[in-house]
Amino acid sequence: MKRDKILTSSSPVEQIARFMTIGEREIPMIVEIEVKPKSGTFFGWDVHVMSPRADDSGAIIHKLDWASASGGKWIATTADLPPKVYSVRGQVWLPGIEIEVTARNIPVKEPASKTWPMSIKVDGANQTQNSDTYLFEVTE
Amino acid sequence: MIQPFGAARRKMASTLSAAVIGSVCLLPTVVFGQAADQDRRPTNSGFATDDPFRGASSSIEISTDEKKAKAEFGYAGYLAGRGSPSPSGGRRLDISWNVGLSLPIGGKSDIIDKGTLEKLGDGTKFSGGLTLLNATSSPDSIYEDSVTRLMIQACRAEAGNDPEKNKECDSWKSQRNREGYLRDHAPWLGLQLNRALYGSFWTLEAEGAVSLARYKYVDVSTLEDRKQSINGYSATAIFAFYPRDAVSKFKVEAEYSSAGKSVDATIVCKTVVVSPADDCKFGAANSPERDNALVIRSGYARYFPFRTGDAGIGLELTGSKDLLSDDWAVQLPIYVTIPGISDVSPGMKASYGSEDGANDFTVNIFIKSTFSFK
Repeated sequence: MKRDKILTSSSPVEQIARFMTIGEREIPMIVEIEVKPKSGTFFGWDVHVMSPRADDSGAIIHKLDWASASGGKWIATTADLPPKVYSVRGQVWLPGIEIEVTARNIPVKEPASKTWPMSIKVDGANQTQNSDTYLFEVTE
Repeated sequence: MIQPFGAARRKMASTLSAAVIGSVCLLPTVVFGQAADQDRRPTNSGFATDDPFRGASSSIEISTDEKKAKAEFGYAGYLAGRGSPSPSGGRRLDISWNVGLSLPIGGKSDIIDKGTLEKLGDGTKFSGGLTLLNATSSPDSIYEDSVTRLMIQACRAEAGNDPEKNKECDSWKSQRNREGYLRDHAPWLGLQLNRALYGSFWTLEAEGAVSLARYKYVDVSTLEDRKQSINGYSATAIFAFYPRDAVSKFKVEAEYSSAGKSVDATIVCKTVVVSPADDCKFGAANSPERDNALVIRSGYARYFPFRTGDAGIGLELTGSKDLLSDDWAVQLPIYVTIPGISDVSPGMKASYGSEDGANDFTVNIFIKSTFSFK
């Protein structure tokens, strides 16, 4: 997806995040991550945005700034995401905890058959914690 | 089960009447052994809600052997961790709270889990508790070498004896969505993947409860039925440790309780019996006694997934000892989870223990079970 199409809505956060180009210099792009926990709280879950290091020796964890939103949602904004593939990984602890994760206005790259939100739930019948990862891509 | 009242309370239901019928008529408990040793584990007829940490809930429980029932209502919320999830992973502390109300609604009111020596099972009960969660977030673990090795292992398993495909497997470590790939293509590596991805975590739970129960007994002099109310209370601390395999749980629990206890029912007769039909009656011969207990419970729960990853066997070993008496109990329920037929989970439970000097051994087989790590 082209970067200038990624953030198109007019929320305050997205206005800040709007992609701009000044000459050849690119202003770092901000992506919004929306998390909707069943509980409406921060209890028992965590979400991160990462990208692999160039030498494949691990991951860069990109800082997320969190803010609560209406309707029990939580919004995080990234900073400085240059063009490449990123992973959004959510983790939940304790039976019954469930979250829905959405990277706003950017499609899922992998798994190719999936769309946002990424739902993660701890099924108490067979697990005590759970996680999942979706990928999105920031292009030139 | 090593579930305390607090955990049982979280089995929340939205529909009551239909569920009761289902439990009593469609899902009978088959019991072997002495009649007195029948399974006292109530059948949970409710439907669990998705989140035990927030929102109102209710459930109804039926004990299939003695026609006893109680209704439970609960509400839970969140206190901390305040702020936000950690920016780069690491340890975190979260706290939630809950309150609950349990009401006897039919038959005898004393639904007590004999296998865990739970004492505060009589009458109306109000409870409240706090749960502290200490967990480790490790987001970049999906890039660890151990996960890379699993990727290659999964690839080679799919490649079989094809040398060309096997050669390609060494480059599969660059697969970007490693977690999704392994979950989809190699469910048989699920436990290894869990250990590679996750850290262990633990919870600490404190709970208090008060109860009010009425007990019937027979006045020996007049053979009239009399009732006496006794207040009960309990305080419980529970520590649970969840290993990184994500399919097991260790638990240690201490519960102090003081509650009423019925005297065993028997044939009560007047001092002088002229006509047994008129001068004798079945019932408790004395007023209820107060029973104090300090019960230590420990347990281990484990789910064994089948190779396909979508079914398995769950078991939960629990040992209980009352330090203020000679009572003790051990129980081992085993459950089978059948994919796609969530309402039918056959299982069996073996219990052995001693209460008031009498040893009991019981084996139960049930069609619907409620195995859960909650």
